[in-house]
Amino acid sequence: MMIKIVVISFTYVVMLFAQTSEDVAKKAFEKVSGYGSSISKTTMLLENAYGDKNIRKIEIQKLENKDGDKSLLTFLYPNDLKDTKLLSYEVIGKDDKQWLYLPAIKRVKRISSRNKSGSFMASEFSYEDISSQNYKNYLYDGLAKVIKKDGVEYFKIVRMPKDKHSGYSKQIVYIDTKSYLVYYGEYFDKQERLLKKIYFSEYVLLDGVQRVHKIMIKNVQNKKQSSLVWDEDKIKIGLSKKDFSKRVLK
Amino acid sequence: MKYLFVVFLLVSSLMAFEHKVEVALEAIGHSKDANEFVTSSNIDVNFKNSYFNIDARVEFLYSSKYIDKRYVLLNELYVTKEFDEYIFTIGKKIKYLGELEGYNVADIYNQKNYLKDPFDKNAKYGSIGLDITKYFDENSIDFSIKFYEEGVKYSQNNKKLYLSNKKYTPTFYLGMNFLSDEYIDSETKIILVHGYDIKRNILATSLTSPLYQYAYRVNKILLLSHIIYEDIIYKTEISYTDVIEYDAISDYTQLSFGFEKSFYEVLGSDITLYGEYYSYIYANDTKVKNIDISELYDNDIFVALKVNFNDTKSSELKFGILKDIKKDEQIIKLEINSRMRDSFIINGEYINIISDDTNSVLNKFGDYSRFTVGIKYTF
Repeated sequence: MMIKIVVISFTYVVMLFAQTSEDVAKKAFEKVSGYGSSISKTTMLLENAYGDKNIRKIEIQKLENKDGDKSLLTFLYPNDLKDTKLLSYEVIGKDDKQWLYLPAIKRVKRISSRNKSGSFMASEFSYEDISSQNYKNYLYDGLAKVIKKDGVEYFKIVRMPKDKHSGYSKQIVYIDTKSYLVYYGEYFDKQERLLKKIYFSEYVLLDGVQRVHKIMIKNVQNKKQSSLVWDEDKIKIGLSKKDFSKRVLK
Repeated sequence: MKYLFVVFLLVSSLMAFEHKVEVALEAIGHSKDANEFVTSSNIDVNFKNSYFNIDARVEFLYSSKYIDKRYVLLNELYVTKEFDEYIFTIGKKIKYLGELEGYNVADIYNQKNYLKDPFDKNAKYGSIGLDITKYFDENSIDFSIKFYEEGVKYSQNNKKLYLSNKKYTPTFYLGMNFLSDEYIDSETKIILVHGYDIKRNILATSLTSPLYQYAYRVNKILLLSHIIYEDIIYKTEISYTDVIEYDAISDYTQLSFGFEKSFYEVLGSDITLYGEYYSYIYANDTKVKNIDISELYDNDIFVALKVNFNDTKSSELKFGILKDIKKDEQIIKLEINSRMRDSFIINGEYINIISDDTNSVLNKFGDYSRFTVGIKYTF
């Protein structure tokens, strides 16, 4: 019996160590994939170094697509931004396409999607932080290491954004070895200095798909932080390509 | 009034109802005229059910000093209905047609609201008409009719509008919009117009009499396009106007080109640069020129920058210079906005006009400065 336990444990450990960072990233991505389409209401809290806080509320609609997800963000609060919309088409391996709808002047404005590192709504989230975390958008560094943090084992993987316009040189991501869910990340700027720490929490299993319901990001350089909390979340709701065409920008 | 209220209650009870109200108070200092306090409000209302949408906007403006700037206006009221790939809209509506930031050659559907602010290109009057749009994935064709032409309100003195045809002669618009990313990422719109020009021939019968505005009919073709190459957006708006029934005005071409480039995380801020050029070319140089305030942009360059400070207060700074290449005239505009709590925005604006060319519309302002500070509350 003892031998059996030792063999199983050894096999388990070898299996863990044998996984490449890319394999782990792929499994982690698969855990949060399969939602088809979703509609969520979120609250974003912005906090500066002096503790001043501001709130933003956003409705997020997403459509899963193997060539790149489509998303429609509708700003709900503050009221002066209400009904402002951002339509994004992720294109794997190319620049995304983005349009902004400004309701006060009825204008649909194309925006350059190279603003990967630009701040999203004055928060510490950049556009690439809130876009799809498709594992294909990164290059990986060798085998995934297993580390222990607060009594929990995580895969520690190092990934480098393929997009040269990314604001990051590399990202270190910590993935739970049992659930394959991402819990922490450390993002480094182009000068390879630590820029941001990111925390994913409050995972909920919805219709067989893991959904993160809280993301917190801390900028260690300017001491600002932002969090994004999901107040409502529905998946597999039958949205189609038509719901993400330019006609929705009105 | 009570019937309107009953209708409002009935519609509200049958449909989902949303609203947004913006109230602003501004103190405006003019270098040549009396200073003023201006209170304004926009009330946006949307009724929605599974069959159709109704949108409305009421605008209110009250100047402590200038009677022209006192009004309550139902500026938009339209019904939208969607059928599969079609969208129908009927009613009074504002549209935006344009690619560039400083001035839009193609923005010809609605008349500008010069009373509200002659230097705000987005201050416009709603026009009553019908739109039908057919979508083909990301491309579309749209057909619009503006039912009739209205006078432009420059001031109390020129309310009289003369038209080259009957008032209820409609203007027709046919637009085609197509998106391409096969060779280069671009989007293009072509619009054909038959009907009244948005421009006016301003006529003065004597020095003391009111100004009269003469609206004339045209055939027009418009091209709006943008190309994204690397991280720069290149934009163009071009129009050719064939004046069909008014000999005093020459046919004309308007050209405008521009670019937009952004720099991110510059000392924590995002900076966007804009460069634009606008030009008029008259087919017959001996005919009337400088007939309309919009012809300010006859051979001008526009350089501007926008800084988003990426702070929790959404602070923003905009600075732009419009300069005529040949004439000695320019406009400088500086705007700053910052959030105070979530629902209040404080703003400041400075405009300076220099014009030494006596043959220019801008010269009517002379050397002029305007300074504005204000607060806006949205709920």
